[in-house]
Amino acid sequence: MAVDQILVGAAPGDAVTGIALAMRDLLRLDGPSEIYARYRDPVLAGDVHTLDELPIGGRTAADVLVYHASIGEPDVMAFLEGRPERLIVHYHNMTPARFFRTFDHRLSQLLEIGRGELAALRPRVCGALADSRYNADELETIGYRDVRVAAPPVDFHGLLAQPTDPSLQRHIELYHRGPRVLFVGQLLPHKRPDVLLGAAHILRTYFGIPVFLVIAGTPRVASYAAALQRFVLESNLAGVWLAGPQSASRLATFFRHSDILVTASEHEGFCVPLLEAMAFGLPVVARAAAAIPETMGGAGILLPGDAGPALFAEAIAELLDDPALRVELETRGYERVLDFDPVQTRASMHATIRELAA
Amino acid sequence: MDTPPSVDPNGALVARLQARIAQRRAAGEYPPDLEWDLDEHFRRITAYRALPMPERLTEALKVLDERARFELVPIPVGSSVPGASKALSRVAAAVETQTRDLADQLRSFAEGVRQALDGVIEAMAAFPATVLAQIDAVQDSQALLDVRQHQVERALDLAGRRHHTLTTIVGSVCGDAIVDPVGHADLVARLVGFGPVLDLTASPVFSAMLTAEEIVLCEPDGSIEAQLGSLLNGALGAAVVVDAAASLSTRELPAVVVELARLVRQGGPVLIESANPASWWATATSDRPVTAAWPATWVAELFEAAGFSEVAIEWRGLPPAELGAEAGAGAADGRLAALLLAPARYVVTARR
Repeated sequence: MAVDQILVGAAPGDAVTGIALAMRDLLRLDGPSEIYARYRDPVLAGDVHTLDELPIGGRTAADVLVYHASIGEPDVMAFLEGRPERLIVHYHNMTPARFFRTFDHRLSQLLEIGRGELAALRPRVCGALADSRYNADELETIGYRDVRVAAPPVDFHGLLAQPTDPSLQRHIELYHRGPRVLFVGQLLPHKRPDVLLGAAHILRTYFGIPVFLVIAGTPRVASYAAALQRFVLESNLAGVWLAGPQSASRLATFFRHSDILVTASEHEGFCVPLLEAMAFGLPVVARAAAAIPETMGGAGILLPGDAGPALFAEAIAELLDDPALRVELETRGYERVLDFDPVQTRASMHATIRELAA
Repeated sequence: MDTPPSVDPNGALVARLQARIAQRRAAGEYPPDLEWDLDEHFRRITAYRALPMPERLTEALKVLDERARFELVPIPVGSSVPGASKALSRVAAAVETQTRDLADQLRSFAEGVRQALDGVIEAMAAFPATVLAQIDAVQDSQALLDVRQHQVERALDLAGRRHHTLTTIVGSVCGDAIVDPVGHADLVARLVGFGPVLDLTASPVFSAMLTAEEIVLCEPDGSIEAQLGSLLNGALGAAVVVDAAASLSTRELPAVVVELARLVRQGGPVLIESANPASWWATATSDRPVTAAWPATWVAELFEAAGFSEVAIEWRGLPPAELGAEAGAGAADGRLAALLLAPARYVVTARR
């Protein structure tokens, strides 16, 4: 029995691609296993095949395809419908299209299409798993049954082992002398980095705290990234760095040299950066939105889902002013990270896929 | 080793942070609309959308041009068979004529497609300057509308707070039990919409609240009769006398009522609010002497005598319930209980 994985897009650094690669290595212990993608970064040519490279001949219903669903793609849908293999859906969540309508019409269409495709695939699917209970609930609302939950493997050990980037370290130590607040994530509208910019403005202007806010992540939607830059310029916000995409080493350096991790995201299917920050001993502040409360597990400051810049500013100021609270959250964070031991999460996800494929 | 204090980040802490924000707002440490302004600023930035430039389309057209040459490749006519070359040449000539004709048609069609696509590029290039500008103008108007709506909401909120402040001031000056703020607002509402309002009270509260109406004030120190005498017949839409009636003499009040009958237009409301001289409670709680000269029924009779219609008495300012209970239980004399329990104030309403 072959168990292959299907991705819409495969790119280095992409979380879903990372999960697929980790799974492939484990699935190969049981039999043949490859990854196929509709769109593939050429860098991954050795690891990921294109869809047209997956043969039909010799494949039967004894074989399995694991489809990683995170966005719509009509080509992939048509491909899946024509395959003889059984189908397992691994749902990583699809951000509601409404967040993207202003910035990227095509992307918003694909997200809209994606939810329709998920519903249409249901009769073909022999098993489903999701990264979080929140994601599983979403699948179940469109008719999926018995959705298994398996947390994604987060490679804390690999990130903790990354060397500090000396150039970045020197830059931070020279220019970021106040309290340092970090956001990690792609620059996407639903992650609401604009709220964090507002909080930084309040902290500096009204509280007199010379906070430095680093927003580290790939600007996936150019118009949204441009809007953020313009907001920083027009507001004359000092101490804000839109740092762009980061290597693992630079990311580890940011974690090591920050005081707090903060996110105002309104929609997350899991939210890996929360756990990464906890692994580095950072207290986290986030909104109670989507899967965030589930991932955080009480190990950070969870603000109401509609918290605005003022509440974020107050929470950050409170953390900076209260060492006992920081220690408490640091301890809770370490404890929480233990729940997501990468070896165990990988084994658990592998076992779930094997069980669904049996 | 000391155990770190246990915290509840998701409950008490958030409540405390929210309370702190409320305190900062109350203390004026934040501008009133700080968060709204930040959000609106970003929203307006995102309203300007970037359109993709047509360079990619131009590149695609270059490829199309490369493929649209439709050049004819000569048909080989050479042959070792005797006479075949000549026959092939004739066939080739015929085929070439047909093919050339087809190629010309293809070339013509391709040129048409090219021109159409050039038009598309031109339209795309012009799009930001025309259509996008109009879209932005509409979005700007929308944003402005949102701002105005917000300003209106703020103004309403401010008016509410101002009213509360004014009534509190009046309450502190005149005594809460005597001047009922709700009653004032109620009186004001009855005067709106009839035209100029005579305010014999000369009350800043009424002046503030009657913002939509023209106010005619009487100088409290001057002769009221003389001031009213200077006004033309039907010059007023309505009239109000709050707390001043008790200061008018037994000669002045009837004269004022007669003058109001002359000055207020047909259908206009006239209100006189005064302390109730029959109330021990009014006497006990007023910081000014309450004359016994004008019981409510007397004032009502004056209006009726002057030709006003719909004359009615409304009682206001009941004493506290505990006083009533005490009087009812302890007073042997029924008249004493009646005095104690009588409302502190009255409003006589009439319509011209």
